[in-house]
Amino acid sequence: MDTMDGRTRVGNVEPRGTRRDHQHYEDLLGAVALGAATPEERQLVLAHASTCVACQAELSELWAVVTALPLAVDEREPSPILRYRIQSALQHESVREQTTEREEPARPAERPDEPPAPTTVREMRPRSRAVWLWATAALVLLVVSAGLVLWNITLQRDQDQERDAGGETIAVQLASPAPGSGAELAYFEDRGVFMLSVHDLPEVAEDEVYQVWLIGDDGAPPVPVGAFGESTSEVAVAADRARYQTLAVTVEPGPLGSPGPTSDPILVAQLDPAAS
Amino acid sequence: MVEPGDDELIAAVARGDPSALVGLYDRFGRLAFGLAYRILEDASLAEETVQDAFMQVWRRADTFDPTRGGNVRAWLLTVVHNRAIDARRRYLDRRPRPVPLENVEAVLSVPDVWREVSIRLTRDEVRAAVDTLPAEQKQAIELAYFEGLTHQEIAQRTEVPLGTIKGRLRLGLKKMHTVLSAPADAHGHDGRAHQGGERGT
Repeated sequence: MDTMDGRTRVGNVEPRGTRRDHQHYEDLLGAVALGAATPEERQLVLAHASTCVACQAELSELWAVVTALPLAVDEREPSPILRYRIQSALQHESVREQTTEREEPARPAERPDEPPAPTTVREMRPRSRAVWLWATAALVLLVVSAGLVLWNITLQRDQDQERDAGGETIAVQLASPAPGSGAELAYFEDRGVFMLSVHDLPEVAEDEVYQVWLIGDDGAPPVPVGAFGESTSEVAVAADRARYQTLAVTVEPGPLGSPGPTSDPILVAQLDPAAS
Repeated sequence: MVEPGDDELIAAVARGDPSALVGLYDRFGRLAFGLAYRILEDASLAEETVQDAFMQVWRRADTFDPTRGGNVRAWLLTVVHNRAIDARRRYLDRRPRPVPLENVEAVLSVPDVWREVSIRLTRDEVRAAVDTLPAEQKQAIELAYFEGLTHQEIAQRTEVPLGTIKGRLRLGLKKMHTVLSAPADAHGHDGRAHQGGERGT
């Protein structure tokens, strides 16, 4: 008999296969599916389920229901910053992975507490992370060393907040302005952030993106600071204005663009305050 | 441009495409945050948890296999849930987590028929299924799922025998499975027709 203090029959189970055992394991299926059983109970139930078709089927069903439970909660709007933090973490992760790959090609062992995909554990597919998405390790390091972070902002609220803070407007030239198209650029000196807003740019092909570049006056190659796919978009670029003369946008192969510009700019802005 | 499907996005994440992960965030971020907030009741902690979960998805996307009944949304939310329960125990309750969940999903593959069901499930349908449960089954499942309590802790909290709690957890989930697996036009109808009983100790 189970007791309130948590003692169960698990330590005294009879050899698997008896009707009594089956009933005992069956009773635990819900708790196991919900992660509410003890480790010992779970281990025994899973062992039993591996040889008991009925319990295996029921456990699969119960677990499937558990995966649907999150849908019962109300969606909530997180702070817009969370999206930036994830993008920034991705950048750091990519740099870290590339460094690790150079030093130690094998992937680190999985942490035991990390939940896997709802599948059987399979051999890892080789990942081509950073092969062309981040272009090259050097490129990524260049971006990071330049202290640049690009945030593709889709929330109007963010831009409104930035505008409320009072940024300096910078003139933008469109190379071939289409009817209705336009662009605005502002720089917020206190935060070191450019806000680029474009609307109704000429559509790019499905496998192309708009890519944003910062260009200095030191002869160095243009620095890629991000890409976006929609012809109407808002983008934030964190950068020291004093280090760059020009911001430009080109159309490049997607999803993340090219290491260097491969087409003429469709948009150019001179960042030198004297030019504004 | 045509919006990529969930499976396409997770495949792109597995290939190392960061924009695909951001795409998943744009699609499921509000639900993920809602779940984390429901568990943690703290916006800052919930955001940390969601970020942690998405980075987990980034690192583990190559283990996701839709051909085995996997559902991207369910998988992602399972990761968020596990992280949130861990955080709740670590920061709020200061209890160690008794049961890591790493093997349950690995051992079990989801029945094919459920993949179709789970993909089309809506919040209203799941809520309706929860609402078909007797109050005590609903309470037991919520304490286990959203507060991360073990069956023993639920028994202590509710002052109900442990065997009864086990029964409530199992029968409640079975009832929900029956309701959710029914044809869409039957949701909320046949599910209410037969209340699940419980077997005490």
